[in-house]
Order: sequence, then structure tokens, then C-alpha cells
Amino acid sequence: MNDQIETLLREHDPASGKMLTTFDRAHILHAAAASRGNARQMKVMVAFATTLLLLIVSAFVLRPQHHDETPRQVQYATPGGTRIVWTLDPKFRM
Amino acid sequence: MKRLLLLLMITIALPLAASDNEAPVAPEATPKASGGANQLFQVILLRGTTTGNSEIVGLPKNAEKAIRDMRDFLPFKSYRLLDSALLRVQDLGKARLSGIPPQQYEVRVAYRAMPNGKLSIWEFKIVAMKLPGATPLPAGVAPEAEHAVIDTSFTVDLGETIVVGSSRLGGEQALIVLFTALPK
Repeated sequence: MNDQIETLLREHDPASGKMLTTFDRAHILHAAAASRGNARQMKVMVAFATTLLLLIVSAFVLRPQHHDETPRQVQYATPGGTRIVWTLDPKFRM
Repeated sequence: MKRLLLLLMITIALPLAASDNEAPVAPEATPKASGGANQLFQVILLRGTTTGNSEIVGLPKNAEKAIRDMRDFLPFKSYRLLDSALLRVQDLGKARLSGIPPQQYEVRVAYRAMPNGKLSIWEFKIVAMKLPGATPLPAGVAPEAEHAVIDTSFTVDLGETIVVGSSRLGGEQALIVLFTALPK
């Protein structure tokens, strides 16, 4: 079975009978080298973007919290008709 | 010539006489905001707490309905009477109420009657009175400013009881005032 596959692959090899010229080889090696350069550049860009994202998220999470110290007031009526005027005061003390 | 002089005098005198007649009437005294009438208010000071037994202690009968209504809305279990006062107010009035000893509060009420029969309580303040210090303040140290525990405004009908309160969000205790405009 394996022998048949190998035979079939060899019979239908598009590069069969073709010779790699020195020019082609140089061209392929050049393209491979350029591709390696692009990949390295891409890795640097991804690392930079990740760092930037981390910095933005950290700045958002660790931003100073501005607690609202202003009293808030709510007014509402109970179903029984009694109206309530309530002050929610963060600094409330008796 | 005499006629000419007479005509001249009349010409001068007429506008003066007219201006005397049209002299602006002295403005009436500014009417009192409440029409000068007295209004009686009942002020009941309570302390609400989330801890302890579920109880209503020492409340007058007319305040019980307000308490029953508000109990479902407020997280407090216990309502204890701290003090109460009847406040007869003509425009502005104030009274001293006792809180948790030795704390005292001053209730300040300013009102005016509205055309629709309601009363506009345009100032309602509960001010925590500054407790006298055991030791005198050092030179150059200003005493602590008074602070209003409650500072609000609202309208009220005669006979109506308004619940006015203050607490922290999720606080364990609250200062509650049952404020009733007593019918005449």
C-alpha cells in the first residue's frame, strides 16, 4: 500500500524532471530569509501591542477612585400614602 | 400782563398739583410668608437600628401609621423614640430635641402657606448641636462648625405625617423624624 502511494506521488510530482537552477535556489533562499525577517518583525509588533494593552488595562484598573461624598436625597411614597424624604449621607453620624 | 402771569402760574401749578395727587402710595408692609398665621407642627425624633429586636418603643398613636408604612421600605428593625416636640411656627421656628445622650439636635422649620392649601416647608434642618468640650480649645483653634444631619425641603398637607430621615447607604442606624402638620 505504502509502495503504491509513493509510486503515485512520484508519478504525479509536478517538479519531476525539473532541475533547480542556481538562480532559483538563490531566489528561494532570499525569499525564505525575507520571510524570517517579517516573522520577527511581526513578533516584535505583537509584543509591543500586548505591552501597550497591558499598560492601558493597568492604568484603568489602578486609576484613583473618586468616591462621591455628596449626600443624596430620595423622596418616595409608600403604598399606604406615607411620604418618605431620605438623605443618604456617606458622612452620616448620629 | 397780569393775565399772562396768571396763565403762567396756572401752567406751572397744574402739573405740580397733579404730581401731588399722583404721589406713589407708601408700599404696604411685606406680607408674612405664611400670612402671619401660626402653624403647629409635631416633631418626633426616632433612632432606627438594624440590630436588636424588632420593636417600636414609645411612639405616640398618631405616628404608628407612618411607622407601619415605612417599615416595609426601610431596613431597620428597631425604632426607638428619642424625643418629641410641638413646634408653633410663624414663618420660622426651632426647637431643641434630645438625641442619644448627651447629643442634642436643633430642628429648624420655615414654612409658607401655598394657594392650594398645602404648606411649603422650604427649610427643614436637623442640626447636631456641638457638645461642650471638657477642656477649652487651645488658642488659635476654631470650634467645629455645626453640621446639619438633615437639610431638605418638601410640601405637606395639613394632618399629613412625613417621614424625614438620614443614614449611610447600608448603615446600621438612622436618625428619623416624623413630621406632622397638625390641623387647626
